[in-house]
Amino acid sequence: MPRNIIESVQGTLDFLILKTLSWGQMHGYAVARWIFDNSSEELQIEEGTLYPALHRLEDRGWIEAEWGLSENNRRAKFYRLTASGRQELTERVSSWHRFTSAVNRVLAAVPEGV
Amino acid sequence: MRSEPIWRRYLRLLGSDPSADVEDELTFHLSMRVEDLMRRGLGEDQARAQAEREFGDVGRVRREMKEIGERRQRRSDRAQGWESIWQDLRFAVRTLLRSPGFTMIAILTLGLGIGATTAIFTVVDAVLLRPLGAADPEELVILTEYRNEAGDLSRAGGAASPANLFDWESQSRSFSSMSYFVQWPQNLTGDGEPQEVQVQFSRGNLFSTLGVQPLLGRVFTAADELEPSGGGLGFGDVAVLSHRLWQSRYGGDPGIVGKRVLVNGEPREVIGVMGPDFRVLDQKPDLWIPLGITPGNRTSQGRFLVALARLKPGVGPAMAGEEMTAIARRLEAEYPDYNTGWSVAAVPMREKVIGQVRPALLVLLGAVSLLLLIACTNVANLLLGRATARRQETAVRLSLGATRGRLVRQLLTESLVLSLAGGLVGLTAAVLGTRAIVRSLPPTVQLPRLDTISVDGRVLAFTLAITILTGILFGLVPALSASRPDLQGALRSVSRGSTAGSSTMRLRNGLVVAQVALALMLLVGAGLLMRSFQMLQAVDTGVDPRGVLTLRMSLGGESYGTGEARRGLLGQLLPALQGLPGVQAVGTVSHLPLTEGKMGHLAYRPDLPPPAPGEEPSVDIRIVGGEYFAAQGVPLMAGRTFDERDHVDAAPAFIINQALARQQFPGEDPVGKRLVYPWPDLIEGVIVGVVGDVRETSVVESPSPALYRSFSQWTATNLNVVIRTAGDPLALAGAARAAVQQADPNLPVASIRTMEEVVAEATARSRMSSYLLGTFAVLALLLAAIGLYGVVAYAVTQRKGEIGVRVALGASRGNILRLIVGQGMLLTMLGVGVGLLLALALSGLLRSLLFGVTATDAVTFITVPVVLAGVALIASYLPASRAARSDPVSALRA
Repeated sequence: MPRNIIESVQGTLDFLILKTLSWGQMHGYAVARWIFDNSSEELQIEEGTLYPALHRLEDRGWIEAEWGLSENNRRAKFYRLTASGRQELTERVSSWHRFTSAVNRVLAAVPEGV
Repeated sequence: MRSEPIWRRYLRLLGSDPSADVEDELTFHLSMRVEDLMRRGLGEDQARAQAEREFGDVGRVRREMKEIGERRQRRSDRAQGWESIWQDLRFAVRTLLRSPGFTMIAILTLGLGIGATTAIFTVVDAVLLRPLGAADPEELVILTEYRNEAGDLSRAGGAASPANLFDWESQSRSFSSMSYFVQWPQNLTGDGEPQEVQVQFSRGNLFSTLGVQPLLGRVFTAADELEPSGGGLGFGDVAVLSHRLWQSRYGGDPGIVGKRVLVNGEPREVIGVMGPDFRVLDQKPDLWIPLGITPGNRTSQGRFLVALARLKPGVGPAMAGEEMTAIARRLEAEYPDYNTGWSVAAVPMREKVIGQVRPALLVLLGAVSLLLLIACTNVANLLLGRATARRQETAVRLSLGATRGRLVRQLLTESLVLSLAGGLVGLTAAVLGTRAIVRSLPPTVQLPRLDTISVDGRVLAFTLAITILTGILFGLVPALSASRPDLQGALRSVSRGSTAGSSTMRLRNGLVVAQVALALMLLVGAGLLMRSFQMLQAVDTGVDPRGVLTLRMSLGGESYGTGEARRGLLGQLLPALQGLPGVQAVGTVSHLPLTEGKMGHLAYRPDLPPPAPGEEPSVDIRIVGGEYFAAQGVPLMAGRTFDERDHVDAAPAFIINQALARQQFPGEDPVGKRLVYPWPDLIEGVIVGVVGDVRETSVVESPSPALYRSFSQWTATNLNVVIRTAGDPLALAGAARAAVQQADPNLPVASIRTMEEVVAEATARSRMSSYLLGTFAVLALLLAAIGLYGVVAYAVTQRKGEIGVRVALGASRGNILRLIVGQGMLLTMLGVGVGLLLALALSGLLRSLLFGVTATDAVTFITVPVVLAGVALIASYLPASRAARSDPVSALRA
């Protein structure tokens, strides 16, 4: 369970990136677009947060990078999930579900006698 | 995603650049954003402006990513670094295995140097460096009395007299504790074979002064000292065993404390056992018994105690020494008869224990370092030769982009692999070698702490250190010289003598000159020591040791408490021994020649005024029985030897040696004259004969005056039987022992040796040093010869073309020979010159080990260069003769 708000935000972002990359190899911009589009434009990730996160994840060995050419023939860095990244993703997903259901239970709870 | 074009990937070969990558990534992102915005309808400039605005603080992002990138880069660099070291190692091993001849010679040479150095270091470490086995041994000093000037106090007997000792104790302030002991042989009987043991009669506080605890039980207290026992030196009825005795005689019995043992017939209770490494001043006695001396019964006679003391904290040996000198002066004034001319010194214990051997060991250490240097020089030369052969390979690698540093590192790796292999070989040889040396030493050789010599952690660490040092030492120069970028010259044809070869040539020549010089120094050193040993052996000991057997016994205990009992034993034993086949003469003596230290007795003429106190001549007193002089081969110079006339009721008869005759009766015939000596009461007797001088105490000093008493008139407890035979003395050993057993089954025979062994032991240390140094010198000579051969052979191959030309122009075989050999001899002469200068300068360091030769002994200094030159001549001749035989046509064509 995340211990403070910044950690939880960072952790969530990492988590989302991992999930995004589980669909295949993408470059950084594509990751940001995917999250933006699939959150109904609610989550817009700034470059200042995205790229450090990507490099952090690469450092931890959960994703690996390769330089390649994009659709429009530009040189870009592509990321994909590693085996240990996939494992981390599974753990985080289950952890997230536990967290949210716990929060929801508290929200729905009613004190006795009301 | 499509892969990058190949050319782009190659750019990364020159080293990845994390910050450029970050730039590229961010730029890409920005351009995608701009495209998106443009697709939504914005113009290019507007799109770009908005994209940049949205981007936020680019700088911070850039910085953070750069940091992460750099961290990752460092980690991968480190992994790469290890990888390349591993690569180097594998490459080095493969290269070395490809030229097995070179590799083996190099490893053997290194093994030789490192092995010899390790072996000597093992001995030096055990004897000189390791701690002495007492608590805070630096605080312990030996108090020793000496007369005239101190001289070499580590040689002095460490003697102190009981009388003076008590005064020292009461008057001195420098010591927290003072103790003393004396060591005598005694017989252990009763529970098994009678055995002679070395017993230390010591003051109760000996163990506490040394600061040691027993392994079992307890040690003496003051209470044990005060109860007088019947006769003998020992007080009380207790004893402390040594670990060795406990194991060997009592099988390590854990219940030994409380049991009784019979020492010289007296029962004693064992109260404790000491630990296995315990030693007192390097002595390892078998047993300790309290010493029965108290102020009440002190005698002035004889300075026979070994006194040691612990300094108070803050007091140094020099300070204590000064205080003792002052006390000695006071005692001189108080007891002039006894103390005139005597002073006291406080010698640090370490000095006393190892002082005598230190010079020899240091010389050996120095010599073996020279040997190691020569070995390194040899291997360096070999490597230089190899580097020349691999010039092409080196040039190619350099041109393909390898840095010089990388190349040097790889060559050094090769050197280290060689030296580690050599070190392993050397270590094995050293372990086996030291064991063999230690085993081959005679049992009573005077090397202190002999039994602690073993290869242990310290030695291994030392070996590792010098191995690595050696590797760097001999590897650095060839590596640096080989990696010099000289592409043009190297890529050209190699066989003709190229310019790149000449500086290597000079280097190799220089190394050979150094080798020859070092070898010369070792040879000179060895030569000097060997001549000393020769001189030592040639010394006339005064006895004829051929065919003589000796047995040692000590007549202790109740059964030999009276002179009558002792005479009785001799009366039985001597005729029995005389009757054995081949026996020519049988005699006894209290101490064998060349075995004991001085005991400081005096003797002088009663008819002249007694000598002034402090000027009394010192005399060795020996007690002889049977036909001792005949058995030992000592000639009779005047008068007669002892016979039946000198029985117990007759007037005391003396026999003196020529030295004493010269001293007391210059120009007169001493036979018939009288002499006296104190013991402590004055004993007067008539001189009945004069015998030849015998070196009673040491080979090195000239014979001192000696006085002999007959056993029939004056007995002793120390007995050495001397038997002269016609045949091999050892053949008689069994029969002689049996005869003793028959005369008294409870009397143990302590040691049986031939007189020749006794004499050999006296020169043992000199023999060992000269043999060891001689071995090193021969090895050094061999290595230097091999080095010279290598260099001359190399020069021959370099000059093949030139030689071919000369031969074609009419040079004879002799001319060529002279040319090549001449070069070799030139190098040799240079080396000899340098070596002689160094040897002359440094040989003074050997002075304390020399006997009968000076440090600039002409014979040695002339013979050695001649021998060296001779060997060098052969070493140069061999490759030269091959060159002279070469076919000029093929030489020119190559």
